[in-house]
Amino acid sequence: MRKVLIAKYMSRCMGCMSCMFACARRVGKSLSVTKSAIRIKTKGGYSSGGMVADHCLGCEEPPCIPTCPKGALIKRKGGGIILKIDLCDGCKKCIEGCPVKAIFWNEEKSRPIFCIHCGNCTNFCPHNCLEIGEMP
Amino acid sequence: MKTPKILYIDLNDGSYVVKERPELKEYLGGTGIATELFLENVNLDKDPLDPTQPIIFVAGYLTPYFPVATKSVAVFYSPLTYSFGESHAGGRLALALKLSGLDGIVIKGKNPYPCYISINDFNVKINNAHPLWGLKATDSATHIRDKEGKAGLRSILRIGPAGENCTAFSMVIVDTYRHFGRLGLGALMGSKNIKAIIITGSGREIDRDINFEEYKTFYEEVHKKVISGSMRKYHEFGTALNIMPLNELKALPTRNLKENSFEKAEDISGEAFAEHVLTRKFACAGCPLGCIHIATRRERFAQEEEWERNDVSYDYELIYALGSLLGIGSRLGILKMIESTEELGLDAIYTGVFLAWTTEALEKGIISLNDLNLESLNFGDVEAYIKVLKGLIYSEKSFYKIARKGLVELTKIYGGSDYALLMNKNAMAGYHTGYANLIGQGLVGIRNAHTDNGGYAIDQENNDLKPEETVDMLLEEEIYRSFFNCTGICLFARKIYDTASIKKASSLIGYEIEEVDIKKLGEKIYLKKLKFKMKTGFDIDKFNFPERYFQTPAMNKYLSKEWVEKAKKAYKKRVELLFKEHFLL
Repeated sequence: MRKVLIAKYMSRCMGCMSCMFACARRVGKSLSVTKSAIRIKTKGGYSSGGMVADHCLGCEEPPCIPTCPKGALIKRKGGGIILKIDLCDGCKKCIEGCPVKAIFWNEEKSRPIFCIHCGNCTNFCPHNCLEIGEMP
Repeated sequence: MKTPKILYIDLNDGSYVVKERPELKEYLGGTGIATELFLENVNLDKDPLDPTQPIIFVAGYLTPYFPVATKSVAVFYSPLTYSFGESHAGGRLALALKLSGLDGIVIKGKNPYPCYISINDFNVKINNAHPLWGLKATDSATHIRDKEGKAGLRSILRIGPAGENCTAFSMVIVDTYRHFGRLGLGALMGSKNIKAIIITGSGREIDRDINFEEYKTFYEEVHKKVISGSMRKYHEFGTALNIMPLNELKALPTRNLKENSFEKAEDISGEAFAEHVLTRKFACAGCPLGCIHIATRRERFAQEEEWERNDVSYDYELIYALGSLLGIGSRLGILKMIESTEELGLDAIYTGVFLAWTTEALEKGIISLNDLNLESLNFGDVEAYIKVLKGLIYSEKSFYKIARKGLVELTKIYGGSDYALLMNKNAMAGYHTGYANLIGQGLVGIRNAHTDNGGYAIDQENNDLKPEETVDMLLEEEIYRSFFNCTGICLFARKIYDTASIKKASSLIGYEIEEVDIKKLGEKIYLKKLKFKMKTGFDIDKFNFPERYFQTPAMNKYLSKEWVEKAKKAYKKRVELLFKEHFLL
């Protein structure tokens, strides 16, 4: 059973980005939302009717893993990816290889940002749109 | 303390440069830096819409480091008041500015053809916007959105046809549901051939060497207070909750303030909007509260089951200006009015005041239906009002051509200034609460906006204040806000961010602010703006209010001109003293 971040109630999302700020602050140790492993955006403008979240879905067969020429990505038990930062050379192939745009980029460090499914973001969502839950 | 980085764009030749401005440090950010940049760049010998005039945007200095620090300030030479123009907006703009590494932007010159400007980190691109010129303010961003920037981390500012034709009360839409609404910034952008501005960035300049643990603890304490404390009311019903209490107090301007309460208030109350048409809420980036209330307008457009829908944001001021003030008592009618002003890109408050005056001027016979190119116009008539708005933007009839310059010009030609609901030259906000509101907006407030000093609250919280006491309270609040609006914190959070919290937040990111500095800085910023206002013709002695404010009781009390005269004297004395203290005379 995978236990991962689920953006379950996005129709309730206000776009406040509290999850992104929390992820950057608590996990990325950064003041900038660009260091977040979740990205909140509109479906296509605010008037299009709401928000969507780009985030790691904790795939059963992560398509990013085979894209890494250095073998820096390993499957995390319970879902998601562990990045072996020492092996990563910042080629960005994993970003291209993720079909749901869920791998982000740390510009200063030239390294990818992966969700670790820790749930910090879920604690700061004022409308409880996010949760850590089990995927069948 | 970080050295402010300012982007200067010259549209005459498309050049740009980013300058470090250490000498602006003392003004922190927001309104402080914006005022300085404006005074450095404004050209008093030329018209407000001359290409030499600057448009300034500055983000608050606490953005994006703390919850609810979401505001940017725009400063410009107002084509509506021919004086100091300042407007504030939320959305994602302040965040996007900081992501781009910038504290502020100065735009001067005029592009030879319609353009939109893309700003990404320190790079600027001027793009052809010919196909976008003429599009509704609401639609123009769709095209830019598909072409530019990082979804979720960008801000898009745009104008509508009203800004393009330089209507003096045109506005700028920020990220669909926020606005630089007041004093005509839309016309400034239009005069420079700027349809839109899109800003994004990598965020590489945001991180600082700070005590991270202490920062995290403080941030998260504030976050908790915002979502569970006194600000909740702004989330639940929003400012629209004020309709019923103001109506009961007899302070809700109705039918051009011929009346002070509205028989249909219950139908257009915050409670009624929430129950019947509210469909979601949005938040500015970095605000866990979420005060942006979105209603869905659903309407049959043809026989059989043919329906259209659109999402419209509403607020107290819009329900007042495009509702009670016009005698419109239906939620659908108000939503249609809001949608029209959004599409055309007009300041909703001024638009309501203009339409209300037009209706009464027609009733009194100083203008005719022929002037308006209409068959009829009465209070409450939504379809006729929408026709007037279209005339305002597109008609070549002389009434509309003059109307684009604002009510001061209209009343010069047609008369009726006694019932043009102006505060100085800006439109009245939705509070006929008494003296503090009147002189707060009209006299003490730099922008002549209710948010300058919150006079409406002083009226509701106090009884029978003397003119001198009222002036002192208003000035104290105005001066405090002159500082507060440097931070970028939303005014809704002013009780959560008391002085101690602001000092703490500031020191956590490397700004040391002492209490005594706060007052002095606020005074200095206020006086600099006031000095500019006086240079452009504001004369305390000659300043008068329209009769209507004295004819219709405010909260059951008739206001007296003698009282106002005493307040004017008290205000003059107080500011003369302040000017002397600051050696600014």
